Amino acid sequence: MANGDGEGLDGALAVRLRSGDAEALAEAYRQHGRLVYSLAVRSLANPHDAEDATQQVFVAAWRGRASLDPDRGSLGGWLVGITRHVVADVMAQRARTVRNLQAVGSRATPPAPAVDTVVVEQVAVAAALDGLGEPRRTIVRLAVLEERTHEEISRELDLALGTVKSHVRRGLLQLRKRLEEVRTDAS
Amino acid sequence: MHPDDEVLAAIALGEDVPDEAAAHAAACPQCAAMVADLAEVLVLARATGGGGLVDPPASVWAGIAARLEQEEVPALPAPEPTPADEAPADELARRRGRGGPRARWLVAAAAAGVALGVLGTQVVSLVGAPAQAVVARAPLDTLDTAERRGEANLVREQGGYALRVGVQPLQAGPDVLEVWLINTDGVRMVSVGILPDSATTGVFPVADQLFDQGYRIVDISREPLDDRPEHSGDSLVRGTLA
Repeated sequence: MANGDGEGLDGALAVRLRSGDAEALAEAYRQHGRLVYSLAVRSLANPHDAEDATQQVFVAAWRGRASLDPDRGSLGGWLVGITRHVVADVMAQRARTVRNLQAVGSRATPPAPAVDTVVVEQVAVAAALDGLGEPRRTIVRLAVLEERTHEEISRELDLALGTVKSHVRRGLLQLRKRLEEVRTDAS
Repeated sequence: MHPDDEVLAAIALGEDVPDEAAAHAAACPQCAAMVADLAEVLVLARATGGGGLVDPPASVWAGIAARLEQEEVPALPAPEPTPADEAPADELARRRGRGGPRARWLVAAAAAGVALGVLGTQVVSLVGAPAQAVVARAPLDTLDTAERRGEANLVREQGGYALRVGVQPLQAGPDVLEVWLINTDGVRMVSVGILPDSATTGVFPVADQLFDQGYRIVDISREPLDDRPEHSGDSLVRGTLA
């Protein structure tokens, strides 16, 4: 069931993906590839590892598509969950490599760094903001990031003041919804 | 009576709201939690200034498609499904897949608007081609800093082999980017083709025997437009097919 937040579209994409529609994976990549990659870059630092991790995420998403439940949670949240696992794996591998190199000299082993939840949530909110339709995206950016008043935005975009206020509030609610999806799906 | 979510959002944004709403939100645990949640979203949004999103290079999708096409090649021919047995989604996938697995991924990507560079325009010629298999794969890294810049796949197609290359835009300047296969003996090499200006993907037919004869090192070099056909020595990326 579609509503103004485009959730119906997300659900339809999830259904298509689960049913084995290759175009759906490409569409999922188009919609969420940046989120997955940004998360990988910020967690792993090395772009080569981030590219590899991103590929692993979408390959895993395709292979594991039967486990995708379109009625429970969102596609973006599901992909973030996979990303966390893949990134954690890479980090664990790195820790093992360090441990192996140190094995001769020391008993103490460095703990494998966990995927930073704050990083996940920052990137998820940035991606959610980026995914807002216009004019809401521009309005929310001006109000929240550039601290412009509603009056200024109303004048600059030539929109009614009430419209601007509504977009800012609903935009914030939408961002929170996307964040919640990432939190619930992150397992 | 709880205020509307929009009113709670207004509170989190620091806007003026009616006194009763403000008082309720402060006292009611459920509403106070929502306001706190929304305030947290604002903090997260401001942390990266709306930035923090990085575009993956074009080669990332090419790599995903390359990895998945291995999935799609069946070990045994699948039994022909009867129309009654097939679910609509499978029927659609089967029809779309007429061009073979690789073509299916590329058609899908083109339909979804995933940037593919030069290869995207070659999709039409691939549809109708039989199934392809990836024989070997080479990550393409810079020589000095060992940074991943792309990937090359050796694929078996009807009529021979092809080297499919996907890279981030490499700087050619006034020169030309040439793709080579270098023999593991470190001496012999063949040129397989040119990457057109600022292209990020290319497909190069290669002779059947090359791989078996040891021509496995994929090299992309910057070549000045002169009369000398030999390798300039200015290699940008390299990788070994395995």
